[in-house]
Amino acid sequence: MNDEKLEEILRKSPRVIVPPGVLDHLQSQICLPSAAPSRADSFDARPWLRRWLPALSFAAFFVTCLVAIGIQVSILSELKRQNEALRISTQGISPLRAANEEYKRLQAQGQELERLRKDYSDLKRLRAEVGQLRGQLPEVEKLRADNQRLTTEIAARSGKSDPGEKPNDDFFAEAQAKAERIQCVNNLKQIGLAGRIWAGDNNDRFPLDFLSMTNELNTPVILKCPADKARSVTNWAEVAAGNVSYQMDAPGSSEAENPDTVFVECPIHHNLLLIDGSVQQTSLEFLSTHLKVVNGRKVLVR
Amino acid sequence: MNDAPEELCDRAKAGDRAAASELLVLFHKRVFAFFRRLCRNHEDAEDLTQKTFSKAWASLPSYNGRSSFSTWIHGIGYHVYVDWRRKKNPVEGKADEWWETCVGEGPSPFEDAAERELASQVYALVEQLEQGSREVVHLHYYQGLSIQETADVLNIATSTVKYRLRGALGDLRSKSAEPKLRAS
Repeated sequence: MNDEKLEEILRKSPRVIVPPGVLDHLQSQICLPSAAPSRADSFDARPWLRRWLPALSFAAFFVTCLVAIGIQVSILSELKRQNEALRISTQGISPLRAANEEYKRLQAQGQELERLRKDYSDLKRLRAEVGQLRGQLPEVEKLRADNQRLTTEIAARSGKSDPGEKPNDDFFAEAQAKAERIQCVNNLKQIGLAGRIWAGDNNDRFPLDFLSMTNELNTPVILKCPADKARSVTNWAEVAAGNVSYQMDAPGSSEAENPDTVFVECPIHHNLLLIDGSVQQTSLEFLSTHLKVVNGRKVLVR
Repeated sequence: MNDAPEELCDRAKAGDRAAASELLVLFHKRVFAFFRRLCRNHEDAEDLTQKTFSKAWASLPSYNGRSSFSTWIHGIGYHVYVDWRRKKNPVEGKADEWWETCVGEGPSPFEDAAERELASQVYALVEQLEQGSREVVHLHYYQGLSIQETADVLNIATSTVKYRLRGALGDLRSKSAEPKLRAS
């Protein structure tokens, strides 16, 4: 069956017979709404709230805006008033500031005065001490003369009068010389340690000069012998200028060489720093017999 | 009695009961037939027809004449039917003997008994179609609405109406080719 035949059958669907009485029943139940009211009437017929809702909404919004603006204006005026009050109050602050400056100045002056008073009291105390020491000065002179006399007597009694030897009349000078010699040994030990550290980083070879050990030496001050009063070594620039007390005898020597090879020596105390890191305290007489030159290096022969 | 439905409608809007009665005379058969074919019994069809016209009278002020009164009343009827179906949830595909008796009674448009038998079976097959397709077939073929009017009543696109009609015809064609129909 094709579509045309199907459509023909469908269009010829049997008629439906309406039962009698249906039309009458429907006609009896016709209930038409009242005549369509005009637009104006329908507008009026709406509930009051529905009619006025848009206007009321707008009015509420407008009133809210007005209230917000009023609150903001009020806050603004309050802030302005506070600002004005603060401005007025700041006008009186400059005298206070000046008074504060004056107070600070007076306080500083008071502190200065206190310091001066203290200095003055110290000065008075020192003057008193100076006066006391001046009073003791003749007594010191007398004791020194006695000391010299006794020394002469001791020398005469022992029969060892040496006109070339200076009398050692100052114990403190001797102690100081000893201390300087020990300090010199200490300096050489530090130089030796720095040299060995430097050699550890440079194929076991000692540096060619003191300036190479700027990283290993804490301070250039140790390159000055404490007995060397003619020099003053305070920075590496002075070291670069050759202002060093010690003399490097074996620059560039190897740690593998004779451990008694002299690396650095002190020309004042004749202390010797050997390349094995030890420091030997010697004298000029000792060196004349025990110091040899081997392959251009000074070697300590024991 | 010769006034167009739209004019009668305007008069009914103005409260003319006679115009409303004329509208009833014009459309109650089609509306009743629509429900009778869908609901498959007289009682429900009467009830739904009554409801449809009650709603139509209540909604008359909102009728603005954009569609024909026939389309409008069918639209109301369709929604009434959908509500009824949702509440009653009738069993789909139930055999309806009325088609057979209907086709067999009175003056038939079909020439011979064989054709009448075939038509009876086609009508029965229509009732077995899916809901959407079945309603489209009812509105377009049984109620005689155009494609556009059918689309307006069902509130769907005309292309959808055409698609459903094609599908319905295809289903009917394939089902009518089954042995039972061929043997008949």
